[in-house]
Amino acid sequence: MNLRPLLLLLPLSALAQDDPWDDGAWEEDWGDEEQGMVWSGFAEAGLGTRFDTDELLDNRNTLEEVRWRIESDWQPGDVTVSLKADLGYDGIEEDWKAEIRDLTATFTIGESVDLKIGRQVQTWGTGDLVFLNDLFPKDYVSFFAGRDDEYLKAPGDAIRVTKFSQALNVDFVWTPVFEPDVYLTGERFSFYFPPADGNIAPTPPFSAPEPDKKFSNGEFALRLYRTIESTEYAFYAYRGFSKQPMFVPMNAFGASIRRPLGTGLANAETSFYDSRDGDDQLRFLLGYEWEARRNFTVGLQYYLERQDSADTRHMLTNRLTYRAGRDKHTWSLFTFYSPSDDDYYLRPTYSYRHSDQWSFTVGANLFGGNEQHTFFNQLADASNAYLRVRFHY
Amino acid sequence: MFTRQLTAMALLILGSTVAAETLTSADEIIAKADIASYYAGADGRSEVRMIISDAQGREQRRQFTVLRRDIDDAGDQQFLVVFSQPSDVRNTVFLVNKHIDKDDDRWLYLPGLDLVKRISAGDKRTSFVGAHYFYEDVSGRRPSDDEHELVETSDSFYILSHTPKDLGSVEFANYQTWIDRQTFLPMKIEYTNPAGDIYRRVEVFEVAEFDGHPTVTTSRVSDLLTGGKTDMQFRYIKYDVDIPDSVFTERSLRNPPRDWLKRPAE
Amino acid sequence: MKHSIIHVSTERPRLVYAVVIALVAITGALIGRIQIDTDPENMLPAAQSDRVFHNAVEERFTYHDAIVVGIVNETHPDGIYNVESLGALHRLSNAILALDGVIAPDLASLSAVDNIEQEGVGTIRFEWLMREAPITAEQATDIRDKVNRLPLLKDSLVSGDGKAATIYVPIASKDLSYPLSQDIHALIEELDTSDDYHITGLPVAEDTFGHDMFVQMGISAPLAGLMIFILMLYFFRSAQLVIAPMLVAMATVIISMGLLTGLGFTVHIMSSMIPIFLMPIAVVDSVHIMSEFADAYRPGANPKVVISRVVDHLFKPMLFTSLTSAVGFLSLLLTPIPPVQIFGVFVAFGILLAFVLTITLIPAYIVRMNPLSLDKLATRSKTPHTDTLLARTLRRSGKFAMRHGKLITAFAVLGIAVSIAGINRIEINDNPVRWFKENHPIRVADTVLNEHFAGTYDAFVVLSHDDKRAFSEFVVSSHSLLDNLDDRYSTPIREMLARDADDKGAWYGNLIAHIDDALFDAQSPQAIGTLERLMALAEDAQVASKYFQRPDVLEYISGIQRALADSGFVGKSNTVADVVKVVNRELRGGDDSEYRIPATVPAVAQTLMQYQSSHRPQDLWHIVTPDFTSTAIWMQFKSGDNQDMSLAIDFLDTYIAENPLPADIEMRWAGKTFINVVWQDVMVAGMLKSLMGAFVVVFLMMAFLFRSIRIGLFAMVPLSVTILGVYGVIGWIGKDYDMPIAVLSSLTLGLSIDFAIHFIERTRSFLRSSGSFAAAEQQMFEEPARAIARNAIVIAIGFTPLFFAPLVPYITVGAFMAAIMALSGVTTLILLPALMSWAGQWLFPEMKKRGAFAVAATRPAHA
Repeated sequence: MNLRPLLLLLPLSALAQDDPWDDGAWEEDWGDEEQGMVWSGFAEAGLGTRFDTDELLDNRNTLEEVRWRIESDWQPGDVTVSLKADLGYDGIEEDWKAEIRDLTATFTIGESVDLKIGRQVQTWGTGDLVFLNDLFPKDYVSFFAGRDDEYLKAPGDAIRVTKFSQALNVDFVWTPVFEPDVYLTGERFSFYFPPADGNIAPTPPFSAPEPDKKFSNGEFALRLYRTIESTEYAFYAYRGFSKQPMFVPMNAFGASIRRPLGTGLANAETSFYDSRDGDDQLRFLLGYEWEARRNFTVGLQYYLERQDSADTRHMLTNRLTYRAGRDKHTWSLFTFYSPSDDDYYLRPTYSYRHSDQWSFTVGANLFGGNEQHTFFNQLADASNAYLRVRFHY
Repeated sequence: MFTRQLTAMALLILGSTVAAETLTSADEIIAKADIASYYAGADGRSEVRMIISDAQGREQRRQFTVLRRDIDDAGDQQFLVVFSQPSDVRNTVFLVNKHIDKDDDRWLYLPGLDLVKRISAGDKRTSFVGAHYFYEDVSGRRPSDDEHELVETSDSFYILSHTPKDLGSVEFANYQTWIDRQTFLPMKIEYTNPAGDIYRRVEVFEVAEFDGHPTVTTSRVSDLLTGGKTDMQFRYIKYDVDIPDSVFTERSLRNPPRDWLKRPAE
Repeated sequence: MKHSIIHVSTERPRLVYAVVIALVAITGALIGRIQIDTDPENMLPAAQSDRVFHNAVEERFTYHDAIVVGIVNETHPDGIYNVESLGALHRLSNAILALDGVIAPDLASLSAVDNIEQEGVGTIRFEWLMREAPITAEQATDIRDKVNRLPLLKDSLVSGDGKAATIYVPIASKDLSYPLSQDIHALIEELDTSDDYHITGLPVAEDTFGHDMFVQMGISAPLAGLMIFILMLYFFRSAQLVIAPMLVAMATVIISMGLLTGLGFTVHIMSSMIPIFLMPIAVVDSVHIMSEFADAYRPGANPKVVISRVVDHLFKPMLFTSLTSAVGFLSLLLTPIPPVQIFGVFVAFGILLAFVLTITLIPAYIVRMNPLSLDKLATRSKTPHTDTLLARTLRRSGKFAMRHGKLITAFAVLGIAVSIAGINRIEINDNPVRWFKENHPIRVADTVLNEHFAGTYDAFVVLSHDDKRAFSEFVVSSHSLLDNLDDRYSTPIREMLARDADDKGAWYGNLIAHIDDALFDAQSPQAIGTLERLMALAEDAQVASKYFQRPDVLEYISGIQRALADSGFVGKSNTVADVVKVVNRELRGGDDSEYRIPATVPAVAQTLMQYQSSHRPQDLWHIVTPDFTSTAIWMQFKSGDNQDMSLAIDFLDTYIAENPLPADIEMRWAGKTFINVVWQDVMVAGMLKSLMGAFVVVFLMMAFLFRSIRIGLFAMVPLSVTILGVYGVIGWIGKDYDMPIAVLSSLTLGLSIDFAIHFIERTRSFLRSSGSFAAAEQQMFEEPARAIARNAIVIAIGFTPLFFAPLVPYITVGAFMAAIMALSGVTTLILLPALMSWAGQWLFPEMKKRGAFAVAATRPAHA
């Protein structure tokens, strides 16, 4: 077996023990600031490996990385500046990585208008790992590789305006430069390519040309929402591009509702994608989540996707979460199953929080199905198990 | 300004007509054609692209650079041919010392086999690397190999008929050439086989002037029997670039002269 | 309807004549449009996948039909390698090259191929192997030494023993094969040589075959007609009575064949037999009517009344015999071989037409006869039959069958058992060359050439490589790289990427040329860097796509060749690996140890480029495509028997199972010899289906006709026994099951049932009228038995002219026709009464009540 990923763990422990950034110098430099800056974050090492090799890829692993997260907030005057950044080495891409997940300035205009400018992660909608009106960028590669769920949501450079009012809350997000999903490129995972009638893993990896950078190619997303008697109503609109290649210009309109029902919470959401290439889409979601037992929650969703050019896709999801030992142990299983495509995706995870500093997560991503071309089954060879060790500071 | 240009053009046309006095000697025409086709400048370089197509239109490509140096005008010459495409034959090199009074010396270097071979020049009418061109088309057929006859002088062409002195060494019975009266470049050649059929045709489609020498830039040879053809394109042509003698030595077979192969900036 | 037909025929005979004559005239004119088809490929439907692939392969590797000229010298110690023989070959070869219609660049002969060899140290030489004819014996044997070093030529152009040489003359079109072979023949006449020359090759064989088919149709069929005429004259002793059936037969043949050609169907070997099949069948019905009329007619009676009664009486059995015979032939539709299907349909059509003509034309004919002739006919035809040898024999055999019913049945069962054992020994095998008689020049050439050479029969194993994944990856990656590039450069390259990539050679060539152009134009280091990466990527992809340049793949192919050679099933195989090895050997000094595949792809590519620097670069494309994505293993077989071909196929399958093909490779067979195997397999399976289908339908018809399942089964006995018997004999005598043999089953079915119907129908009516089985049987062995026997004899002898046909399949059919008639006649006349003697009560339960069988079982009539 490849030893390199294990070795990667070593500098992490060194880093963790005598972290040169941990105390002193920085604290002193910045600590005297009036507002005071709190530095927090974590260091994490992750290793994920396939159950089977993917013949198309040299590396059997899906995850080989160390990352160091720094987080901070800073409030000069009325403005809040926040930062969340990751630095690390990615053994799969064999390269150092630096990513800013959040660097924003937030301030309030007037009484009820908030403005948040900068790189930020955003999300809305009612689905659980299923997205209809949430057309903010997603990072599926991270999700499938075994990184923390947090990384499914990818950051984008945007301006967000929020207006709160009794009658209606308004969220408006302008992303001046189109920010696509992180899609399958053939680097970490091979993907199905119809002309080849099978999976491919091109080098250099697949990249699709993105829309030109101009004002009219920006993304505009709008949410109007209000809660009436514990029922949340929301309406959505979006103008931009499909988030997966080939980035077809599209508009979306949708609505959602969420309210308590019985002992749990029920939600319904729908969205219509009006696509420039004429291949319109209708999405629909029904969900219900409840705590079946103490510390044991169950979530069920039914999802439908009807597209002009394809057969209607149905999908059922199920989330089971069990927490034990004062949340020290978290067991979870998320299941995607599509009866129409006859494919599935299982995400079992177990997290153990040893202390406020140390936590461990093991989990797996299991894909399968009957036909090569279906969404989850194209990843059948990518089925993997992973382990992550995280040190918080 | 415009008028001056017209005048200049008129002079040019007039000048060339004057220059193109009507020749009547077939040998003289063929000697001039030989010079025009194969001896332009004292030396030269050119890049060649060949598309070899069969009757079904299936293509093979070849790309190579030709360096040429004349020892004497209408006399001995040296050629170095270095292949660049397709990549699996890259750096295959031909070195040819063309002689007028004896057989040519030909060397071949195959990098894949790391092999230098002399090729016996017994028969020059074999295919040049699979193209419908023959070795002889590339290096030039000796005018003294044929009897020449001026058949017709049209407005633009001298039309000559050529009969080989040694019928046994060639596959044709005779051939006819259409030689441009201005440039002395043969613009069309048709070969007739012993059965009396025209079976092979060489055509020139484009001629351009480089460093004062009218030069063929695109041409085609068609094999009328198989339906195959080879298109040839010459590019990045330069004359009188002072290629040293040392380039045309066996040393260049294993170590192609990079500096001389580099494409000149436009 | 029946009555109105008879009415029209008797009342308006001129109209009937006019209609028939008009039909014959029209269709007869259409026969002029006849098109002969002798291409064995047409045994398969045009869209059949193996055939489609075979044709694609012929185009892919530019295979032409070729005339093969064989030259044999058994006397000279150096065989063909002597000044005189090579001189003649050289002259002939050059003369052939000048013939119109010969594809000169692909002509293969010692004087038209290249030799690569050493010329002193470090020098190689490409030259014509035999540009000039040798003048000295040394020069002649020198050519032998060269050929022996060229595995692609040895045993293909010159035999291994040096005694025979060939000239392969590819021709532009099959139609030219006859005139060209005549021209070549004339050239050979002028050669002044003592060598034996043979002209053969598939197009020649096909052409000769077509010619012989005409002979058969023009001579054998009329001969059969004449034979039948004479036989009937003997039986009926009245030309006038016999002429009518002959008219029916001729009209049937002409209308059926005219329709066939008129509808645009080609005349294949099967359809050329239609006249000869229809002739006797058409005669049979009219003979029934005529002889019954002769029996029933009394001088002075009104012929209209008599003939109406006769036709009325015979209508049903005739209709049923015609229908069942037609079903037998229509069942050939279940065999997916177009010529067999066309044959079946038109014979079936002819049978039904013969029925219609019989019930219309014969009454019209009789009505038009003058009363004097009618009277003569009635008196003359009646007397001689009751006391002929045939009549006596039948009576005796009838008694014998009745007396020893169980014994005969036991013998029949034994016979069936022996037949089934024989059927298990049947070998399915065909070879179109064997359709010629043994002393036919083509057969002789075939034998001689295959004695000396590795084989003149071709088949190809085609390997094709298509790595869709790698190609897609390359395209996707290229687009990704192009994202970083200015549109000015990237757009033309993207256009190239989007092009149709059927010809990978052109596709990569264009792409790389465009990248090269962009590289020259690009200024910024970033753009140049990207383009260089793209170029490297494209070059790698191009090299990878030229799969059959890979040394490991060529080694694999060599492995297949070695195994094939060791197996002994294949005379010789030729591949691109051989070419690479020869050129490599010569490039590396000519030592035999260098007869191997070089280690790297560039080395192979450069070796092949050297091969292409010969006089015949295009020869390479007969074994590999210019983009190196597909290659052919060209195999030579000494025999065209598809059994031998099948052995090779099975052997290779086993080899591939043990030595799996590299990934993404598709392997498929092609070649005429292989196509023969395919249609043979199709035919055998199809014939079985046809037979079963017909069997079931005929049984249902019988059950319906006799309103009894038991009698239906009983009626199937003669044809079942005959089919089993005939194929049992074929198995025991070791005759290969080929196409003519295969169609015999349908014929048997159609004719044997005819006898059974007549026999059972008459027996039953006698049984009803007499109430006694013994009496019925006695009556049965008078006129009805004679009619059946006469029919059997007429048909059997009617087919004998086929013995004089020039082609083996016709002879086979003629011989087995006689056997079928004899066997089904005997089973009908012996086995059926024998069975009835002990199973009659079960067959005719209604008669049992009337006590018909009381005595029959123990005491036959006349006892």
